Amino acid sequence: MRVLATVVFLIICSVSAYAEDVWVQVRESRVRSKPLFYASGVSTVRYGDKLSKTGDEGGWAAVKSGGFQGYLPLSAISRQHIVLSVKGLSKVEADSSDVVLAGKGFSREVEQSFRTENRNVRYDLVDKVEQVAKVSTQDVEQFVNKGGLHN
Amino acid sequence: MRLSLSLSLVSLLGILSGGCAGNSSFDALGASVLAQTGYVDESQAKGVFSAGKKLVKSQEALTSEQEYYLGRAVSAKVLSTFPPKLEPNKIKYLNDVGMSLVAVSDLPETFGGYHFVVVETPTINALSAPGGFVYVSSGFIDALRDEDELAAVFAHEIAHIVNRDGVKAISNAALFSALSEASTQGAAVALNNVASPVDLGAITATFSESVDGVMEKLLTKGFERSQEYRADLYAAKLLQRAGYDPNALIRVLSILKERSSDSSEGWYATHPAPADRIEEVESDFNFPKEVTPAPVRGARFHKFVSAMTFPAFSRPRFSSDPMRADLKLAASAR
Repeated sequence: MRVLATVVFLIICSVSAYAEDVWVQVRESRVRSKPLFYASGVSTVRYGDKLSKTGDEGGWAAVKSGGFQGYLPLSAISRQHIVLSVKGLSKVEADSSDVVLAGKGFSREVEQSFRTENRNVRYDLVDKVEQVAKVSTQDVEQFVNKGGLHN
Repeated sequence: MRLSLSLSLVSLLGILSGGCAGNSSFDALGASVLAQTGYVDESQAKGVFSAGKKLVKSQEALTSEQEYYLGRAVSAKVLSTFPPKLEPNKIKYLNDVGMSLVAVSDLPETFGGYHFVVVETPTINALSAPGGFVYVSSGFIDALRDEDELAAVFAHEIAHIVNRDGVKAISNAALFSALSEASTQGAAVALNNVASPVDLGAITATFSESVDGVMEKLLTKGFERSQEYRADLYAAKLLQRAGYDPNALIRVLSILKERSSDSSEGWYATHPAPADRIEEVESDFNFPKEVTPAPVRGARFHKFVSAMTFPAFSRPRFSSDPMRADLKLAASAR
C-alpha cells in the first residue's frame, strides 16, 4: 500500500514537474480533442499565444490554457518565448534565454523591402497560391477515407 | 551606430563563446574585451556577452515565421519563371493528395501551411521552398501514371521541408545575421530600454543572399547526395505511413531513369542518378512486394490529368503508352 502511494506520488510529481510554458509558432492552429490530425477541434490558438505543455504523445503535445485542454502538433509550438511586440517586454524577459521577437529577422518588413528592390518578382502569384492552394481538414479526411488511405 | 556595433560584437563574441560553452573564464575575458571597446560598461558587456552566447544555442534553425518569409520569396522567384496552374478543380486534388501525406508527417503544421501547385514547364521537375511550398512541373505530371506516383513525388518534396534542407542552403553568416536580428533585440531592450534600430538595408541584403542560396540549390546545384537519399528514404516511409504504395517511389525513379537520355535539365541536373537513388533506397527500406491501390485512386487521378491541358511535348497517356508498358515490366522485374 505504501509502495503504491509512493508510486502515485512520484507520478503526480513527475507530471506536474513536466508542465512547461510553450508558445504557438504558427499563424493559427486547431487544438484537437485527441492527438490525431483529423480529430475534432476544441479551440483555436494563434501565433504568440502562451500555453502550458503537460505532456508528449508521439508527435503531439498535450497543452492547456485557461479555457481548454487538448493536443497540438509539436511543430506548432516552440519553447522559445515568442514576443509579438517589445511593448510590455520586461527587462527580465528580454535578458532571459530564448526570447524571440516576432516580425524581426526575415519578416514582412524585410519582404516589403525585398519587393521594392525586386519589382519583377511575382509575389502576386504567391499570394494567389496561398489563397487557393489549400483544403480543409474535413476535405482531406474525406479524401483519405475514400481512397483507402490511413488517417 | 554605437548600438549597431555592440550588437555586432554580440554576434562575434557569441560565436567565440559558443565554441567554449561552460568556460566561465572565457566568458569573463569576452566581457572584458567588449567593455574595453568603450561602447558599453563592464556590467552591460556581461549581459551582451551572455545574450550572444544564448543566441548561438538557437542557431539550429530559423523560426517558423522566418522560414515562411524565406519560402515566399523563393516561391515568388520560382513562379516568375514557371507560371502556376491555379484552376480550382485541379488544385484541390493536388492539395488533397499532398495534405494526406502532410497529415502523417513529422511537420504537419508550418507557419503559413502547405501549398501544392503545378507549374507550367515541359521539364520534369519538382521542388519545395522552405515553409511548405511544393511545386511540380506539368511535364512531371504528364509522366506519372497514378495517384501513388504523384504522392511519391510530393513525399520526396515534403521530406526536404521536414528536414529543412532549403534552410540549410543558407550560408552560416546569413543565417546568423537573421537569427541575431530576431534574438538580440531582447538583449538590446534589456540594456537600453528601447528596441534597437533595425538596419533594414543590411537585413534585406542578407535576405536576398539567402533567397539566392536556396534558389541555387533548388534549380542549379541541387542538394547534397546524402540529403537526396535521406529524402527518398523518408518519402518511402511517409508513403507507407499514409497508406500509399511505397513502390510508387521506385516506379517514379524508374520513369526518371528511362527518360534520363531525353534531358539533362530539371531533376536530372539537381538530383543524383535515378539508378543510384533506387539502389540506395532499396538498401535502406524494406519495400512490400505488391500493393493494390483502391480503384478510386486510379479514377480520381485520371480525372485530374484528363482536365489538365498538356502542351505539344506530351507523350501518349495511360496504358496505350508503350513507354509506360516498358516501365511496368521494368518495375515488375526488379
